[in-house]
Amino acid sequence: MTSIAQSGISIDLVPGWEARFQRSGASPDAVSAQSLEVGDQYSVVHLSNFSLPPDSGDYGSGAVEIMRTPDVLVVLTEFGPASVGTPMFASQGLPRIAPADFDPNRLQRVLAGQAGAQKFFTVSGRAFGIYVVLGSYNRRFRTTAMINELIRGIVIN
Amino acid sequence: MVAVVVALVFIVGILALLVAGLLRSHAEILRALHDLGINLDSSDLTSGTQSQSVSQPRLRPGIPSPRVGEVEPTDIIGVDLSNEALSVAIVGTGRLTLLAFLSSSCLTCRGFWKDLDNDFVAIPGGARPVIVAKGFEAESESALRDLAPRNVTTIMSSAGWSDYEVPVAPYFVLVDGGTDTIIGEGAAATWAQLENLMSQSMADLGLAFDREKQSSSKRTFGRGGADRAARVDQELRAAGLKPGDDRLYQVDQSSGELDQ
Repeated sequence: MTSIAQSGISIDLVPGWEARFQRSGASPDAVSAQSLEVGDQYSVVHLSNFSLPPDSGDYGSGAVEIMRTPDVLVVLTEFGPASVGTPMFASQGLPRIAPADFDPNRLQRVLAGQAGAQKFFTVSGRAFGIYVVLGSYNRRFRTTAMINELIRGIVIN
Repeated sequence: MVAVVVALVFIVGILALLVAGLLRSHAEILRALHDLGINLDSSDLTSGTQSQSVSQPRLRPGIPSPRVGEVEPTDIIGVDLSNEALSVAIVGTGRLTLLAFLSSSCLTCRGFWKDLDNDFVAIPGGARPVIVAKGFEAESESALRDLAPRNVTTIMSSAGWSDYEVPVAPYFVLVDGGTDTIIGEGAAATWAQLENLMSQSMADLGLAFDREKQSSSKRTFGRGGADRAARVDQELRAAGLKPGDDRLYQVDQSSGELDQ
């Protein structure tokens, strides 16, 4: 199993998945992300079962446009200490994703056929958001198990 | 009596010439074997070095030694040009990946850095190209930033070089992520040589046509009109259609429309 770690985040990758760490704010869609105004961002991790382009934005711009039906993109975004303890991040521990969490309108950029889900949580005193994009809304029941297997491999210290 | 003596002298002379010729031929064979790294010297025979030298022929400088055993493909873990952790999936992907092991300092690599920055270059089999450079401990960060193509994933991973037992730069490995096997590898000096090398490997396995049809090139030629044009060109080339091909302009007589 392939493992990757940085900034206190370690991930055991599901076969066929790849990961890219980057600092928030260094990408074209960083402005949108920061408009949440809940604190500064820190680590951003992109996880995908397709080839991640070299210059994808914090929330997947540049990657979502080339997604095909079976493709999945998971974005783990850390928010600043100011976010810890706020109602938005009240949920403790890494979340599970359910098929009902996905909605074609829950996307940073709405693309035909795709669907998104987003959850916020706190782990080890650090505030995170997880944003999942499906290449096909119709495949959400099939892909959810794979996404949760991937999330189970994430450890945050 | 004199005639017999003359005849014997003549025969001995002929035999002496034959022996001299044989000795010379033997010496030339020994010299040729020695040049190939095979030493048949009797003093070495007793020490057992003959078998070693026969199994490991000496190679000219710069030519990588044959690999012992097979390399098992693995994902590549390293960092990107911003020194951020990056893992590139190679196995279990269901697609072809062309790993280009390049260095910023090798002169032969310069052409490949440029070729991979060209959106119109045809990637063998429509594979996803991934450039693997050694880690920053062995590479120049600024040189890599200047050389790295915009649209091709570049990863710094000394472990990747070690995992794939890369003997020399530039070196290329074509991995089939459907069967998790290496289907072609080798060194090349030009892109044309690389295409030929990999095309032969794929043809040997009957992969070329099928894989081109399933091209993952849209990943690499991601966005924009030029990228789309490059993808279309690549798909047409895969179908055997070159620029100016008459079949592109054939008109269906019944409908008056271009043939599909």
